[in-house]
Amino acid sequence: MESDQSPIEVKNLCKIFQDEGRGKLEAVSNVSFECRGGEIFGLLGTNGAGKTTTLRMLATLLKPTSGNAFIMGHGVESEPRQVRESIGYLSTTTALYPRLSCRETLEFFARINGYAEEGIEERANHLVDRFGLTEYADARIERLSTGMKQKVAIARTVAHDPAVVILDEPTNGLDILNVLDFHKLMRELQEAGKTVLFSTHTMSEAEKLCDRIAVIHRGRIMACGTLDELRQKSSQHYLEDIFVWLLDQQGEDPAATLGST
Amino acid sequence: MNRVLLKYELLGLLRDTRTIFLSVLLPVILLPVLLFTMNKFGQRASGGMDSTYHYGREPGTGLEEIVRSALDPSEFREVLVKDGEEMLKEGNLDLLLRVKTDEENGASLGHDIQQLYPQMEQLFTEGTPSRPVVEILYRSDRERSMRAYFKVTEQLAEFRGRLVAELLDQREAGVGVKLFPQDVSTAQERAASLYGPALSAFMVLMLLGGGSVAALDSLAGERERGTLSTLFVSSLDRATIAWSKFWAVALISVTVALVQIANLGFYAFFGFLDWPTSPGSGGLSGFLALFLLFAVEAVFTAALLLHISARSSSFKEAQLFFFPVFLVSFALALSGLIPALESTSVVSLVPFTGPGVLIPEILAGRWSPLILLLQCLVHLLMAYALMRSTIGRMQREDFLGGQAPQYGQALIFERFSNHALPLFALLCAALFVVPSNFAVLSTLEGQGLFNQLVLFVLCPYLLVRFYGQDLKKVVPVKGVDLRIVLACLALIPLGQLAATGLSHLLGSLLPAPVKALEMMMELLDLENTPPWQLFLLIGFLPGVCEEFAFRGVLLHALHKRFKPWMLALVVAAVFGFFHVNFFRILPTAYLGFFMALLTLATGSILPAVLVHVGNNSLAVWAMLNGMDFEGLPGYVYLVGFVGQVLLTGLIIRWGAGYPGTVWHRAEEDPGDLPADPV
Repeated sequence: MESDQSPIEVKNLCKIFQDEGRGKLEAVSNVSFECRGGEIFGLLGTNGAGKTTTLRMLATLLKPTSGNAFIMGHGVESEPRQVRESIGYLSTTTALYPRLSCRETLEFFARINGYAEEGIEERANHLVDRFGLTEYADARIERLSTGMKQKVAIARTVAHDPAVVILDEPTNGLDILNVLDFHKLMRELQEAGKTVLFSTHTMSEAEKLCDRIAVIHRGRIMACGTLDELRQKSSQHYLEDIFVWLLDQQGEDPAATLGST
Repeated sequence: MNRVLLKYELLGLLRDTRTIFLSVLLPVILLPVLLFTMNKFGQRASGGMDSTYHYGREPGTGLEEIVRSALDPSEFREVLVKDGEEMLKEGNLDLLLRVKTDEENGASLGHDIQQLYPQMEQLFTEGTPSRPVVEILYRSDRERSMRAYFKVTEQLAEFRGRLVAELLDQREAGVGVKLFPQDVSTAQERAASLYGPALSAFMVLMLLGGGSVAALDSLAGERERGTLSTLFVSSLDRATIAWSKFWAVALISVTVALVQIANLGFYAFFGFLDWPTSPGSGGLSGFLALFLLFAVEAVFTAALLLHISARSSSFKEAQLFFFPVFLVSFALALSGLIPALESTSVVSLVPFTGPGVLIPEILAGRWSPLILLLQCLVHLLMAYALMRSTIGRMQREDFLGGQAPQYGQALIFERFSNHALPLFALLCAALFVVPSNFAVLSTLEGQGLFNQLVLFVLCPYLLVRFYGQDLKKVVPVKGVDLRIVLACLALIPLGQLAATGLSHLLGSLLPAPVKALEMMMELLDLENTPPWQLFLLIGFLPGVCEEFAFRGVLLHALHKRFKPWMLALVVAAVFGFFHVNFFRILPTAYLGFFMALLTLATGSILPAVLVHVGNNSLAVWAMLNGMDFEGLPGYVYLVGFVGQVLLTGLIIRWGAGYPGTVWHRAEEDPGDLPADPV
């Protein structure tokens, strides 16, 4: 990777699906953005806006119809394995092996993602401590509560110490204490120099955490910048109002967008 | 394969108590029950059930002397009864014997017996037909009663025969036929025919059962739970994941099967199972052959189960798919029960079916290592093909759910392409089953009409119509250069020579069964069939219809999936497969390969039709004129082969190529499907 290259670069990414009911469906249309090193970048949008599809393309689970994206300089289409080695990816669809213990899970994912064998035990112990899993370290995942499972899932995501962390709606289903803990973790990752890209539809979360935000709607990026830049551009203070303003600029009625995608 | 993933897969499976219980413990517990039932059935079939039967004799009928002389006291115990019928109904008796009035003479037989039996000779001297008629009452709904009935009639008949023989001897009447029945089969062969099919079915049953829970959970279950998504975003690629899971399933499947086989061995060793003491498995080589078959069946089973798993989006759906596959596999493994089916037939190319026929042959000590090798190759190749298909499926974007990225014509063509081979497999099965079950279709005319018109034209045509494909593109009929036509004409005798040479070569490895050749000549019935009919039914009709099906529909359906050379090989293999016996499969596949090349080279099926019709007609003409291509010097066949290769090479050079393949030289067909669907 060249030194001036951003850890995540997304260039004119498009994804078209064939939906049996609706025919050709452009889920992501010409999306471009970049995440700089050590930055927390938020992809903000309503349900069905194209956030998950974008992140799934970055995680190499989907192939772009056109355009390209680079993670740590590796193209998602040309070097998918290197891309997956560089990222930790978490979404609502990624689950854990119920019959492995927390520690085994962390060791397993560190191992298959190429973490140096001699450091695996130490890494697993560190993560167990960091996520407060000591008491449950040797319990099988199937016996843990939802909150604990989510903690293990996040620990699993960073088990191999990736440079880029991609999280798709990571706080879904978490109680307030776990959400706060998650926010703390995001800051820790940032301090450790990681680049974090996460999607959310919770405006307050994006406001609180993100260094920069891309607002996505109907598969297109409507605006991208720091919170201050967005405020300046829209003359609105709260992100919710900024979002409505952006919809208005596109000639869309916020009420009518419900159920439109 | 990734060893870390394999280790954790196994760890996860071993911790699954459900898998352990259902796959290992439950069969171990159930096996004695199964064996007990099988033993009972076996005894019933062989008449070996050891028992003493109770028959009732109503007093005062005069039957006493007959039954005491005729029936074996160690097998029959007499009970004097008053209301025998009631006792028989209640199950207290197996049989009821009494004498009946002889309807022919109207005489009271009880009386006759008392008078006539001690003076049996008098019966014959006086020529009075009045004879004792013993009425046997039994119940067909009760097995014991039925068995007692068979036994008592057998012993009474034997008794009667003895008396007749004695009388004839006394009168020095040397009439009758003496019978010396002699079973020429060896004990080893009898054991092989009895236990071979059962062993084959047991192996398949255990492998499928043992690996099923693990395999179905491995992809379908994990897909449902989301753990597969987690693996897919790891640095492992999907092929590595698939192969690691495959080995995990294969290991589990083999382990479970070995546990069950050991369990079976335990019962056999301690005599709970009536296994022949010397099944004569042909010694060490036989044992190794059985083990090899078991190993390749295990590999194939793992691939099959994983494929089912990959096709299902949930564990429940996988179970739905598994059930019919299980039944069909079990039925295929019982192929050894089909009389006269030998391993030197096309069944050796069908997984589970080949071993079903070969295992009894191995146990009987008459098996061909070549066939064993072939069956191993077939299982391994099919396992590989299934795994490629599984990996292909796993690499699809919609594998983890979500929408397929294709649309319109491309998607429809892909479905057409995917469904072509299964349709041809069905057609092949129909070719096997239908004509042999309908006399009218087993004649030359019947086969011509059914095989050619229905199977090779109507069915593929319906497939094309069903998927809305353009028939002109699927079966391209285009004129070709004169030089290609001339080359094709020259290919007819050259191909005939080369194919005959190949038959010779093959014949030295696997001699053609004389019976099969005789059956073929019988079908042709040269003396009673007019020549024009032979030319029409053997020369013209197959030349046109088979080209429509194989070089037309099948080749087009697969032309985007394989490179031209591989495509020609696949089409040729399928074509050969329709010719049942080994001695015909390879030569026909060989000619099919060249005809597929002609179609791919010219983008038209006409040259292939010309060569096919010419080839078959030449064979008919030679037969009618009492000529054949056998017995020529070896170099003649070689010339045929070289000439065929050279001319085909020239045609590939001259031809315009098949649209949509790398051999296509003309301008891109505007109506062709775009390479990129989006």
